[in-house]
Amino acid sequence: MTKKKQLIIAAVGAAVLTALCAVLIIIVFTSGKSEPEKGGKEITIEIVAKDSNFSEKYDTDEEYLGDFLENEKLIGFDTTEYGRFITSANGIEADANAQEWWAVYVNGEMAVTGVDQTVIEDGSVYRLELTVGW
Amino acid sequence: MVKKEREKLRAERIARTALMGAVLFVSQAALAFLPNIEIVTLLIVIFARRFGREAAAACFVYVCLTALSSGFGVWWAVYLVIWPAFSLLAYALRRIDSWALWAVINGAFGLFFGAFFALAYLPYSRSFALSYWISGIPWDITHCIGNFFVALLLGRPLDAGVKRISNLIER
Repeated sequence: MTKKKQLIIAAVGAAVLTALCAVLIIIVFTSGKSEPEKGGKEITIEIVAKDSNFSEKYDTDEEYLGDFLENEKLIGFDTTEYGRFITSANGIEADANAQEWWAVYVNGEMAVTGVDQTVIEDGSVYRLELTVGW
Repeated sequence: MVKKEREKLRAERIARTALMGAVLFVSQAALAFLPNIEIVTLLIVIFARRFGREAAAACFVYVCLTALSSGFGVWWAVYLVIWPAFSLLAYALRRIDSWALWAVINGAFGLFFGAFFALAYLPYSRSFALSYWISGIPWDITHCIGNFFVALLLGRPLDAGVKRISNLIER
């Protein structure tokens, strides 16, 4: 391939890359979080860790899972630029040295947002599961 | 070829592979304070063009050193595939001698870096893989821009430097 041909391909490639970046930026800005529901909701909280299983139903007016879990004193957390990062649940600490962390599941599916962006929906089951490995 | 000469060549290759792996690791650690700006991609291209498939072996050395310093995890399994695969791609495209074109290739690799990881998470949870990819897009774009300019500005001088060093060693 001649040098000139390679330069033309590079110019076209750079234009395609720029366009792709623009499309991806649009995807980031349009994939926003859902709007919270006002009023009372009945939810189930499950906390699963090692040999301990916790499951409890709650009535709440809270809109976001992070606020609810903190108010019910169900979690310990560090505040980061991305919101609350759960360090313990139901008194059980995640050992970061052993690569332990708390995974959040909503109705059996791993949450796609952090607890501070997870909107509480009536009838939902929220599970905190001590997970090993990242 | 005499047996002694063959053994010398093999020893040379092993030493070169280890050295390349160490250089990749050190270069990654040196720029770790700049999020998603790295010269590992460019060095792999240079090594693959000059030393062929030895660069893929060097990638394994690099990935193992990274795991020893940062721990093992899902990301490590992805690294184990992604870097040697990229070095083999660079080897396949070794006839490209325009650093502008390499800048585009490296930029594209940076842009899709997060997507490769998301693929690894697909069997685990589709929604998690998608959210993982989308939440990392700003970092992928940084990676893309960084890779593009690093290759465009440093490709030629670094390639010349590696050529000079390898000529000195071979002499």
